[in-house]
Amino acid sequence: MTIFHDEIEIEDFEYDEDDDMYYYPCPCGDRFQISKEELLAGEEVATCPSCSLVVKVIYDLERFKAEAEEIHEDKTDKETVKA
Amino acid sequence: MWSWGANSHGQLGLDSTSEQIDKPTEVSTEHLSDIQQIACGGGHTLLLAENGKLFSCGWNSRRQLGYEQEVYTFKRVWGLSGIHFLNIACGWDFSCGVTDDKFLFVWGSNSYGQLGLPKNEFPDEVKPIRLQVNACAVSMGLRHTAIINSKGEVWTTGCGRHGQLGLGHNVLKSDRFQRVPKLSVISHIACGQNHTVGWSSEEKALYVWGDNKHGQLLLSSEKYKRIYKPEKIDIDVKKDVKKLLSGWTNVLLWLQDGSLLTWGRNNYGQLGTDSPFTGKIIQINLPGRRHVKDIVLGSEHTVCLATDNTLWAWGWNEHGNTGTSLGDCIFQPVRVPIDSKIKISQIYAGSAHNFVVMDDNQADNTYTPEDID
Ligand SMILES: [Zn+2]
Repeated sequence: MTIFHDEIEIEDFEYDEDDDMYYYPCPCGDRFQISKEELLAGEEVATCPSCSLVVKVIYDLERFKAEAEEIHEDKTDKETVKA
Repeated sequence: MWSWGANSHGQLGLDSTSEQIDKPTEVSTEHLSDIQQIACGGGHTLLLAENGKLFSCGWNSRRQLGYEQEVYTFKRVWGLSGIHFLNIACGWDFSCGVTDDKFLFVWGSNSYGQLGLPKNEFPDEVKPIRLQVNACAVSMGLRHTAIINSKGEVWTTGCGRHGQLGLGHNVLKSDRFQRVPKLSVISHIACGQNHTVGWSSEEKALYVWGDNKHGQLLLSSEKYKRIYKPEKIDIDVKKDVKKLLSGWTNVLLWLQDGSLLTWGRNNYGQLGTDSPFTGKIIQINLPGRRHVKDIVLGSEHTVCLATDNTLWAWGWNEHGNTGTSLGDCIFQPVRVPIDSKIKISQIYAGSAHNFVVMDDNQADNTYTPEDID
């Protein structure tokens, strides 16, 4: 069984639009990270590239999926307008 | 000057990046004379040298170094030349300095308003700027900042989702400094990951607010997950406080009589004892009845200098914070292996990195070490 360093709500993660990743500080000085794709697939363990600690992401999968779709639709709409 | 611990972002000033540096390693100080103070952030380091000149190195994702480039050796913050700093502090990816006329300069990330600057005018990365804020003391946490002004009032800014601003449950974020209510005159302040603690010398009382997931507020973690307003806690301490310090989720009081009182999370040995934390203050001692000369906290570890010039550490050790390979968690103070000829005058710790500064007077090797074992 995984021992989590902490359980962190998705709202506390910082989302980076450039690489579609969610980040949260790790006490080692690096950052826990998990991709949007992983979250959409139901993955809930964010890992740190510089140490062994892991955190559990607290989020509602269904709501997360719905919100991701909304944002996607928004973007598509805008692109259509531009064209 | 020596450094060791996590080095993913070059925060150790050793002109390299690596996962970690296991043993205290000498840092080149050719261009740094008369080191006054060091402050360690998440992955960056600030250094105050002669006449309050400021240097920095390490992670620079949010301009927390005070200039544009990312560098792995200490580089002068030229944008702040001519300004005499007396005190510096770092948060996760933001920084500050207090000038000789007590004005606060801030720079780095303002994503949560933690610099006390309006977010719409000052986006994520902020260049050094002087605030109209007088700070007698300052502490920066993961995403919030707290200062004490000349009247002993506490003002906070930044993320407040966990109650760490102490401004009530309606204020879950702020991008301006706001005065924390319900406090008497505060003398010491420390910010953790998501909490804040203050000490009133006048009242000899502890004030706490924010996240209490691990009992870091000395309140029952079952009853109070977090509190949004300061709570006064009588811990029956009659002695004066030398230092009030906070790790991410643990707190330490160093008293004038030398005693060390600590509480909070202890899963990695943060409290320096293998007894579990049960909600009551734990008093810890250095081996051999040694006296404490100075003590500092990283995110999950502690480094302590004894008056006999021996250096001790405990807590999370995955990045060799104790300078030993005795395991990932060290539940008792262990001796940091550092040449005993080096007479240490200052110690500092950040998230998982550490610095010690040698006494300047013995640079010519005139110091004769006492027999310390
Ligand atoms: Zn890590």
